[in-house]
Amino acid sequence: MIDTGPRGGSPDDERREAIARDAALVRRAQGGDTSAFDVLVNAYMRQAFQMAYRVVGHREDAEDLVQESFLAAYQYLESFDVERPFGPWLNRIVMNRGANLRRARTRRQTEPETDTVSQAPSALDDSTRREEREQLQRALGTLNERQRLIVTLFEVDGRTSTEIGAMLELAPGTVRWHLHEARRVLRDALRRFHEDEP
Amino acid sequence: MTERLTDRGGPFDAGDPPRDAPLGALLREAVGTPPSDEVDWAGLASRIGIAIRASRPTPWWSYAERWQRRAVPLALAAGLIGALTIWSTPSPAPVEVATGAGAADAVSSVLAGGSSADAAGSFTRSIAGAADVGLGAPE
Repeated sequence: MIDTGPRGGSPDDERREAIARDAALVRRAQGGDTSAFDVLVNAYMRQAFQMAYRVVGHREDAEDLVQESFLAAYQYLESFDVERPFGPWLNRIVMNRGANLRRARTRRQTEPETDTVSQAPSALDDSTRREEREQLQRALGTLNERQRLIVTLFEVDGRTSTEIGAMLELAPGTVRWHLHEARRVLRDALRRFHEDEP
Repeated sequence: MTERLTDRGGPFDAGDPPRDAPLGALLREAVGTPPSDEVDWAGLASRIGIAIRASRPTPWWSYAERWQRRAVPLALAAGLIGALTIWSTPSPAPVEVATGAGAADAVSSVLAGGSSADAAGSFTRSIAGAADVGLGAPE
């Protein structure tokens, strides 16, 4: 195991600094300074893209969703509470708009990126594997947006509960609870494929 | 909070459950990995910037600014035409009105001890005379 060691400041200090920095930028943007909002865009678009991709599952759609979400954030900037962090607020916009987008688009998308498929282990034969994947997709569909996102960010992207909590403005304990629930649903759905496993 | 990197390829918090590798592999297959390398970040930021600037409400002074380029030369041209018109129009012959002098005479007369009725009569005559001059009436 590698210990990353102590960092510059405590996470709370870093969070406070980020909130203060973002608050200053938001106030300038509220006053009509669009260049201040550009700074926020550059700071948060990667995280927003990751979130958007996790919601819509398609690169171009995710880019469009990021753009729409920043535009919505700008239009509703007056309602933003500068005492709170900007990132989670933006992420909520991405999540809500992405969920609407996903519901509206009945079928254009979400075949996964093929490169990741090719890297997957292939111990099971193709049809069983396909069936298992379909079962997983169905089970994912039964989760609410937050749980789906949390289990994906944790299991696929390797995020910690603290990181996910910061992205969604949730306590790490709440993240872990959602994770537990999501895993339970998914494991139940996939149980029959693994009954013979030790 | 203790955060460490694991040999499973990601950090975890002390309170986090261990990652479920088989579930993670299946999920990765199902949902893919965000293709961040394929995104043109500068282009995306630029598109967002353009969309934001296009969405801003138009302030009232921008309408004035829009007209400024045309309004200034038009105003200058109108001013020049007006000045030329005034300059080229012949002015009417000056009319000499003697009322000022007549009034001064009447006041002087009263101050010198003359009767006010005489002064008024003299003033009336001077006005009438001036009016005759102004109307061009024959003497």
